[in-house]
Amino acid sequence: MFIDYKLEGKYVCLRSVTEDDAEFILQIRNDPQISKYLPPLNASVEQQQKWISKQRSDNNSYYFLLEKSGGESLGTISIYDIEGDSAETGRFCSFGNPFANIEACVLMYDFIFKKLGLKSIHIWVFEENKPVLQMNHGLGFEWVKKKVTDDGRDYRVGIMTEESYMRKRSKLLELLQIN
Amino acid sequence: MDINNFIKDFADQFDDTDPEMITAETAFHDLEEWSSLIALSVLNMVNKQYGYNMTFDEMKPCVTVEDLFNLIVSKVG
Repeated sequence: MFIDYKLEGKYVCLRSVTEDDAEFILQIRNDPQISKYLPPLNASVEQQQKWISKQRSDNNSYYFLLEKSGGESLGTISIYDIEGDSAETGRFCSFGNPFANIEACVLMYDFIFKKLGLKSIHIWVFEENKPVLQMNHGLGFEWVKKKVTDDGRDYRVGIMTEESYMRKRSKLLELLQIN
Repeated sequence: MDINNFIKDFADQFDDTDPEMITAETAFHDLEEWSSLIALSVLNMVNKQYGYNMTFDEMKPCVTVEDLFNLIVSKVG
């Protein structure tokens, strides 16, 4: 699914990914530093464009591009597996600074809870990805399960309800210096 | 300003990192738990407790906790 407007913030805005973003997405998803905990995309630009085209008509997902006010692409973030009143979020990777990164999360969570009316979000994070474990806990996620992938990597499953996000939201806006 | 107090205030921004691990010489970007959210928390702490509205661009080139402390001292005395 896609939106035909931007989720505007102070440092960054989110807009739905289009086929024209395929090259940038391949670049950032295959950046060894930025995307080291995401699976690499072994696809051509044409294959990625086809995937985006399919995603845009998928009723159970949104795929956003993080963009600076001047239009510079910074990264991606996504909502998928929307089922009932819950969804999974992920595909987060960014060249942006902490203000852009955290505001992107806030914009997406506002969209999920206020616009889509969902009640909870779930994520999974590799155990060794300590910065993202810390960040998501600070954003309002609680770790509810520890699991192991088929190839033996430990990961945690986290859930954030609308209530736990709303309890954190004003603190996040303060950290973002948004009044 | 006392660097030991600053180190304690800095360490308070972390959830899981042992405060004993954080010293003046700690290269804070290399701490396992360092994240975008902790960076914002440190900037907020510096603003509130030390009265200096440090920007991320100023923080970025600092390597150690002492570098951060020295930057703040140079701005607020």
